[in-house]
Amino acid sequence: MNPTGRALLAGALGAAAVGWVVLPDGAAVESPSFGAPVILEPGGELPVTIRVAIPGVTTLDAAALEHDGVKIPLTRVEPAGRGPRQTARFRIPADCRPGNYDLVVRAGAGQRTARRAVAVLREIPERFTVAQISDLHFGASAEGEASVARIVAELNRLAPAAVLVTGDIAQDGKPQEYERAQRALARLSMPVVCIPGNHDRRGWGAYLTSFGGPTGSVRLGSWTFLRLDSAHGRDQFTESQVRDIAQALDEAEPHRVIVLLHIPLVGTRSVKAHAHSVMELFRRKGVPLVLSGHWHYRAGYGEDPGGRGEPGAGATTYVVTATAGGPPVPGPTGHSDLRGFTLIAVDRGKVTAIEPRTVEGGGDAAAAGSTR
Amino acid sequence: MRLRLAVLQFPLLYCFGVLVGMSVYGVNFSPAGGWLYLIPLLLPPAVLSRLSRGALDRMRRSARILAGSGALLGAVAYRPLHLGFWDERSLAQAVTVAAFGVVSAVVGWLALTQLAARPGHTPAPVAAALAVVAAFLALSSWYPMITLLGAALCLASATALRWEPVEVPARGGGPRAVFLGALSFYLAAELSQVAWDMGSDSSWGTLIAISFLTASALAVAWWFMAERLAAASHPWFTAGAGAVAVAVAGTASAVTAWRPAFVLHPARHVLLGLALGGLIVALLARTTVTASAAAGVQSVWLAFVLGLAVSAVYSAQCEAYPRGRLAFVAPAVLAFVWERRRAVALRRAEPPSPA
Repeated sequence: MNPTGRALLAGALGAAAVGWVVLPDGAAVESPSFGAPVILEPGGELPVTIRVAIPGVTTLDAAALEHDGVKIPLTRVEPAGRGPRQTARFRIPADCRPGNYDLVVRAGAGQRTARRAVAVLREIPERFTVAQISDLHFGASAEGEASVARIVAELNRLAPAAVLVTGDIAQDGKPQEYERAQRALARLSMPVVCIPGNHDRRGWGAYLTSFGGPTGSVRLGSWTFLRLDSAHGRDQFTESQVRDIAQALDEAEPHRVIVLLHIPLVGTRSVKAHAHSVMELFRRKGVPLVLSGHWHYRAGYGEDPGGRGEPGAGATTYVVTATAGGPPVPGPTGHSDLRGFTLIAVDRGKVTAIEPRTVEGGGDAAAAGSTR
Repeated sequence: MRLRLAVLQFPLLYCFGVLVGMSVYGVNFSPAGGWLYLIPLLLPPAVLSRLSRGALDRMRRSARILAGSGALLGAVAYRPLHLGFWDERSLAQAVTVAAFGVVSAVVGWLALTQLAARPGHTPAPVAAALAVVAAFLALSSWYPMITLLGAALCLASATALRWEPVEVPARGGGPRAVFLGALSFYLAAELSQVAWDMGSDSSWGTLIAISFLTASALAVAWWFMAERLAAASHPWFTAGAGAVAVAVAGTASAVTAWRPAFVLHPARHVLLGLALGGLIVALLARTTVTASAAAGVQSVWLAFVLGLAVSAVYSAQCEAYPRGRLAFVAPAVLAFVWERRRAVALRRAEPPSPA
């Protein structure tokens, strides 16, 4: 074959490879997601970000909310660009019923669904309660999964404004573990905000597929739930994460930030790099509350350990919650906490109460009262 | 340029893609498949560099088929990753990506042997190839693993190359090969640091693209200036390029150790690009001289792959100690000092000229 023929053949081979690779998929929804939903009132504006397979060809055409087979088309307020990553804004109808909705996006010929990615509340409250659960460890034991189911039932009874899940959702990161976890969390009647833990790094692709990106902010009115990924690398923050945390805190309303972080910042099993500079950043920006898990027992640390002083007094309160589904681990006193969760009360811009709860009764129930 | 692309696609596209994929999405060797990713990285130093001329000739006769199958394997490996996520638990993915890596390494080595056997290179094709590589790295801001597709397309273009039997260059590569290999190792380790830091944020690709573009611009500019200066008796202008590269990259390392946030600064990547450009100039200056000296290109290529691998392991195990990365410059400095001493000793041993 002559050089021209060879070049033509090579060009055809390359073009066929590119076409075969990029043509089948239209787009992927990046935000919102199951783990980072958008929480808003009827009539609010919903930002949607997608990544398209072929920039300039595929565009974000339409979006709708779906719940129990009922589809609510959304009006586009701001069109998307034509680049690889496209963001458009849609209007939620003023008569939309409160609830958790799947987001259905149409881009090009394809359609993509993000499960429970939009939560519509009747109104965004100024005074609310949120619940934190941590270390679900789906796949570790049937008993642990039953404990998570009991916590879910209890939270549905208590009806906090949102549930914050601080990592280690699965034990080994298997897709079926995430499927079971997602099914359990989908039974919650309120929005769920998730971050990954170190165990979730064992099946990173499966975690991202089920729960979406690991970091970013979720807003509840004027409050921000700042989602951090402490399990990158060897349980440490990196320079880029510190930069992103500072930027997110700058964008958030001052003193109205609750940080979700799987691995605590102090202690033997804590974040190794940049922990002190991140704590200093929290202090400087007036972050009132940082929620963690990982240790499988209840604890507090920092200037106001566990909120035992006076939540909302100005110092950052660091709370470590007992495991929800993993094996309980004895704390420094040698005593194991029962599986449970933490309730956090917020009133007019301040964290007013932090209350650990257990679901298995007895044990250290006396210690599980309000820590205010 | 196609030959240079075939040379560069393994270290700069495949290795960056896989090492970054492994570090960003979890260095996970619990499932057996995780170990398969190491095969293509170990293949060049353990097997390819030891092949006889006969074996190389046999492989070269099938080079076009190898490159074509590499392009297809690359497309198969990349397809689920275009909008999806790296699935570190998938054995099927590990087999496909590792098989693609093996073909990518073999074709890269064959192209390198062909390139190294021909003295007298100019910087323009290298600069153009680096610009193409930089384009794929820039795209990785949106499509993190697109460097795999880039490697597959470079292999597709390699099917159009004329693969000829060549003299295998002498091993060792002559004087300064050790120093340039150590410099290549150091630059690879420094370049890949940012990919680890950025984690799942794939904008690291843009920063590495800045380095490659700077390197290609510098290589061209330096070469043309050197041609003019050489006429005015300044041969040190190209001969000293490697030493200048160590100094420039060392500055970037020192500032990063002092202020770790510098790892994200574009200025750091411009400095590393300047150092990489210096390495290219030093290599081109040598390959112009003799074919046997060109064998040093092979050790530089191998050292680059080794640098990426060692840096990834360091990041996974010890990144909490960023100052420890300064140790990566030590082999280059030691090799430089050793080679200078050896050159001085050889000069002293030479008999005085009759004049």
